[in-house]
Amino acid sequence: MSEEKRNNFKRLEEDNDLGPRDDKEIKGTISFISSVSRVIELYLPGFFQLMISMTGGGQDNNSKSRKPDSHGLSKRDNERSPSEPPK
Amino acid sequence: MSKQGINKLTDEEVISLYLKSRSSSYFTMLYSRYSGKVFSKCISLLKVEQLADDATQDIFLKIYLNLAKFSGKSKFSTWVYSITYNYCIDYIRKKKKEKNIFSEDIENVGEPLSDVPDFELLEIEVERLKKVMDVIPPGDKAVLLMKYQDDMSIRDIAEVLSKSESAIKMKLKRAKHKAQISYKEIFKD
Repeated sequence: MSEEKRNNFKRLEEDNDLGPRDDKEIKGTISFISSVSRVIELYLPGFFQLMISMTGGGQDNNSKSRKPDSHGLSKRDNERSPSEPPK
Repeated sequence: MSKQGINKLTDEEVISLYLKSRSSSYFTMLYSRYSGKVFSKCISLLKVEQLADDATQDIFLKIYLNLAKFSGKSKFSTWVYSITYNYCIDYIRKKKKEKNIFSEDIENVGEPLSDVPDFELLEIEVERLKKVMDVIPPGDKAVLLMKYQDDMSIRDIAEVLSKSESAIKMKLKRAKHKAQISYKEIFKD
């Protein structure tokens, strides 16, 4: 009969494993994880959108920043060389 | 579905049921199956129980958020462990400010190494193995755990660490060598 190969790395894992945790603790962790993930899924895209608009990116931001006295041209349009036609 | 019925399902079946129903009981099942193993790897690499506890929670949050992206190409356990190892290695690099996490980053790699037979490492007594694993660099430790604890293939390890298969073979050889040297240094008699 062949003897099963010893692998003490597996026993090391069993030693470090704290074993099954009680149901209450697991439920607490799962509810924590689901509420944090809900916050991330709901608010993170909005937060990034806000950051983008604050740093001057995004399409809407360009049209809002145009001043009426620039005759429909944004500052960036005015900085173009005369040879380039305005958009 | 009864609790016994859920227990018999494979990981992939539990994931598919979770994605269909979004019922937390399925995710709880995955958590019960893997939290101990994830914690064990975290404590091995991070060494501090509180850190390992926090890391386990963060890793399951990542799993929760990315479960829909799990493609099923690899086993679920391999996917979970790859998140775990990458989390711990990133943590060690950033928070502990250790850039050289493999022995070959630290030591002279010029000389050719003899291959250490697997059984020489696998049969080291558990308490001694623990001490050896405590002194070797975290990258070496991760490679050894993936190979001998998680039975991952060279290809899977290469994918987890974003390295080539030949690089992983070399890292594994060096990690085994480092473990053997450390063993001899700690237990001289």
